[in-house]
Amino acid sequence: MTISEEQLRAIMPVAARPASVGHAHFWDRALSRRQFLGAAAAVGGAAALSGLPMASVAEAAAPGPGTPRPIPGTVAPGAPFHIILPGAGNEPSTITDFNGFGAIVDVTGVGTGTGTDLTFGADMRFMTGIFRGTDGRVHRGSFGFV
Amino acid sequence: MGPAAPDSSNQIHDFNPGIEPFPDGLFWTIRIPDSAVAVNLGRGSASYRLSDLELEDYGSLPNALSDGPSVPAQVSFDVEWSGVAQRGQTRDTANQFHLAFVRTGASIRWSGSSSLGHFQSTAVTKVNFAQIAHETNGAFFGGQP
Repeated sequence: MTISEEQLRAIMPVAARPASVGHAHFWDRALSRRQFLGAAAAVGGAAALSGLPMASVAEAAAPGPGTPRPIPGTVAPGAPFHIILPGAGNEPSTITDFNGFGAIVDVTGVGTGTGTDLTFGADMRFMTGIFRGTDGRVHRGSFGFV
Repeated sequence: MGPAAPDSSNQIHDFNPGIEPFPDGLFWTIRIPDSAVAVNLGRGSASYRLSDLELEDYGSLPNALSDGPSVPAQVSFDVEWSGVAQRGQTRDTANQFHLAFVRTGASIRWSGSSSLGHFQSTAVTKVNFAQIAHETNGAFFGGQP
């Protein structure tokens, strides 16, 4: 949900170790997740994208969903993670070769649930527009950062 | 639980969709329905809403960033951006991106559950950063390709 610079400093040695294997992982079931997303109950209204300078390009977007590539930048020098922390002047998108709209929020708050005195931090983002996919073609799509 | 410990030692949930491929692929980013988002840069408003989204619960950030074990989770959220605080532009030639942005206020409602437990937000105590933007980057930086 969220990463802070303080947390990164504390955990980078852990984060840099080789990936563990042999466990059920979200991306092992990526196809089923995408199928789920097609049926997910999206509460929001249609994206208001009128007036986009990208409109003419979007009309010529290649068919098929396409797969975006991550931004070249990383969270810290030498780190493998292609994300920039929220902040003024920082890149909010997590996908590159992108032309579109997005929003980013970094919040802290409180809540209830399993446990007591619960707090949370959330870095939430979305990107909607056109992008050049791994196939080299321009596609249109929306992506969420959770 | 109280305030988050810098080393995440008191963290009990870390909901995210993973990194594919690990560790240098798309970071916690998944395709979503177009209808899940709305944005109006002129008015300085946007929304991002999904219900019953299937993710993973890694329990803690260090575990998530080392691709450790996780359990299936479901989350729902409603994020709203509104209230124009500042308008501006950022052009970063080194990192090849341009933003026409609006800094705003924001609100969020969040809930998530997994075999590790459940969580329901009740209030936002601080908005550290909120922004809506039109962005071009990479091949689209500086104009149409």
